[in-house]
Amino acid sequence: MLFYLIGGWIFTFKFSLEDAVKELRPQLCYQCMKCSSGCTAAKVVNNYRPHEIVALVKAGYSDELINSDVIWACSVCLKCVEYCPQRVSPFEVVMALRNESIARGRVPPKSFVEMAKSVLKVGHIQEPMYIMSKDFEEVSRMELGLPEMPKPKDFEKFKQHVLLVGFEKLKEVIRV
Amino acid sequence: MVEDEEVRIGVYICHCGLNIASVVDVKKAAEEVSKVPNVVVAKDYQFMCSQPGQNIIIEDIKQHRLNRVVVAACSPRMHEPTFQKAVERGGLNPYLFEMANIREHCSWVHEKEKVAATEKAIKLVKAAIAKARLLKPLKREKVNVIPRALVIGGGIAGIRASLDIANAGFEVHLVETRPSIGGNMARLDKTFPTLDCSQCILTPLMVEVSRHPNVTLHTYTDVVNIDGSVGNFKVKLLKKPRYVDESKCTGCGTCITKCPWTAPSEFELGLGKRKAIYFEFPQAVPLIPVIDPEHCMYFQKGTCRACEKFCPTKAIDFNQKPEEIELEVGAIILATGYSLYDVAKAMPEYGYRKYKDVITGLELERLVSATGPTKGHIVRPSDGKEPKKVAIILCVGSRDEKHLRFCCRFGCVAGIKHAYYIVSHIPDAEVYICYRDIRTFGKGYEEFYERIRNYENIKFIRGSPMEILQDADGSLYFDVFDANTNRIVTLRPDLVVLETGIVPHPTFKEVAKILKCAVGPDGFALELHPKLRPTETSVDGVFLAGAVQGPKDIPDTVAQAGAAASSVIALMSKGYVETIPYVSSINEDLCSGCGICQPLCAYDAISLVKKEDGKQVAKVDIGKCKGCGVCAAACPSGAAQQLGFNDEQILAMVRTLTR
Repeated sequence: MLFYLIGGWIFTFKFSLEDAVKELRPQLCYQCMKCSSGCTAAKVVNNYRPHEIVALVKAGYSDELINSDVIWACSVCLKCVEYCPQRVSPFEVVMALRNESIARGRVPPKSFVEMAKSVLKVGHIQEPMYIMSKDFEEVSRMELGLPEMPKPKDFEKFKQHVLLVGFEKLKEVIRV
Repeated sequence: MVEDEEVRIGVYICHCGLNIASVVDVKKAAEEVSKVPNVVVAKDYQFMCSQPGQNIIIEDIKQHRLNRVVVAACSPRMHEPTFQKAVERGGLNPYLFEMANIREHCSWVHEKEKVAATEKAIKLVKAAIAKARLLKPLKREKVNVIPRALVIGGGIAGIRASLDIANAGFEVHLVETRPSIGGNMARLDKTFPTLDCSQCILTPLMVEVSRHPNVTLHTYTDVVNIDGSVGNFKVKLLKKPRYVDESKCTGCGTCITKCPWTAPSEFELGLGKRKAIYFEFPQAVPLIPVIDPEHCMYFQKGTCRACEKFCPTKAIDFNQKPEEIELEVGAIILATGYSLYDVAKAMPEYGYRKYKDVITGLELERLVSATGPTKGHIVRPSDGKEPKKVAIILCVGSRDEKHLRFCCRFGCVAGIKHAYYIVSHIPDAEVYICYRDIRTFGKGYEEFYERIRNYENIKFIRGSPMEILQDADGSLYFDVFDANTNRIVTLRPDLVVLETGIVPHPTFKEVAKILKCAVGPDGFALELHPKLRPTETSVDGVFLAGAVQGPKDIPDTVAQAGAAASSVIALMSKGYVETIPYVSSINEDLCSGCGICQPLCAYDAISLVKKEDGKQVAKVDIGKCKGCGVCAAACPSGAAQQLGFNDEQILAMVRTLTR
């Protein structure tokens, strides 16, 4: 799983929508809704339905999705990859849509921009001392009794590597 | 006779309408090949396979005294038998015929290169002529068929097939690995779509097959070995010891009442208990108990013998040993059936075996059955309470690239039937059926679906849950996206029923290995042709009935069992089979007995024998040989030759093609 997670991230930053349609074969999806039944993000984001995204891509409505905020809801839990009976991987379809959206210069929703900025600034999706709630309120890790999170040892090297896997386009779009 | 004669060949080039003639210049081809030595006559005709086309060959054989015939047309798989019969009608041995494929191998693939295609066609025909010159008459051997059949598996498929063969007047040996026949159908309470009682329609057949004068039942028996080929199979069976003398036992059941030891019941799928001496189920056929040594105190600790003490007929025999039975049969029917996919191991996300209240559809059948562990009351296994909210999940493991790729073909209607079980036993219960697609393809199935849709308390949810979870208080819950209402629904059912996919019964794997019959990618037996020969296997004389070939409901299983039985009856009524003549033949003078060919033979047709002078040579069983030619290719001395395709003939073709 860890391997997949790391491989998946590197893989997906450079994965185009064209590749996704060709290699992930969304056309094999027969709409069993398993992904939407168990999706972590769908439980909190009302209009986020992985099966629907796959169906829209399959039917040729990718542009609609690329210009929509809905594709940014995925929380990368990878349950849909694990349980899809047709090996479609809605997660990777969503990643390809995000990449396409960035490639077209579209700015992602605020929460995602904040996360990307934080990665380039401190090496984490948020300030390690704080946890951000759904309403963007900062809660102290210490107050919750959590230990301090380790930071990248060599931050410059880390930054270089992040840019290497295709972060630079995102950096350009969100103007860091 | 033919060898001394001058070789006189007739060559016929078919137009196949425009299939060949629109690409290949057939007139030119006929003219070219007419110049080849030994060719007496060369003609082209619009449809060689038609009646007038065949008549040209027959008349020419007589008029020109032909002793070899070459037809250049389609694939030999299509019309070789047609022309062989025509040649035979003309008075020649049918194997003095050779076919050149100038359609699939030429005109169809060279549509845009007409000149080159014509040249290629001429070469192919010339090569066929070169081989035809060397053809020798071949003979089909007749092998007698022993009028006795073996049926492996005593479920509904095996029972039906046995009865059909027995009713036609032939002897049948029915083998079942469990102590009773009946199979999975005996576990069912009702059968869809008519909801008739499964036992009520099955038990009369079980009794009939056990009493039929032509049927010998071998229960609690395994197949150990099968040798031989169509018409003459030698079968070795191993009868496991019941520790009960079948000739003395009256089936009174006193031993079972007196036995103090219990174990989980296999028939009840672990939901109920049985004694250490037990009937498979109350209506078991034969009604003779069996002792399970693993749970019997006498076998474990050497004391007890309660059953022996109380048996009124002194039928208990602790010294019974496994018994070997040898049989000779002419044909075999495989009816080993299915077992459920192991979702406990393969799909832990559904929590089967982890949560007590997640059960399979087959387990629900046992809960509903009047003879089941709860005497027909639907209760939750965890606390014995009546479930008021039940979720039925379809396609568990089926239609899944990571589990079983195929549709189980009865899960949908079984799930609908199970919903009916719940509401008919517990009228105020709510049932949720989580489905992907509802497939009600059988006769009367859609009407049954419609009937069940009418129930207000049976709700259909179009969506599959991803996982089943447990709350702190032990109750089960899961989320499922319902596409019909576009909502994520959270269900908190008292009982979850999984309609699991199915796999071939484990015994099939062993039998397939013994028989060397082809197995498909899903592990089910591979039929010879999916549409036209659905009951035959790659081994002649071995037929398929029921779920051994693939998922099947009861109507389809019974239909196929009848079809398999009729194939066996046809074989036995005729009394003999004709072997294909393209078999391997060993030149014993050349054979060094090295044995290279023997393990290579995929059909187990080659054995090494000692001749009278002590020399070891390979011997081919022509009943088993399929003429694949592997032994001929592997033989280092050229002793193994495939009749009709020997080295001399093949090399003559190669020389012509490369000239």
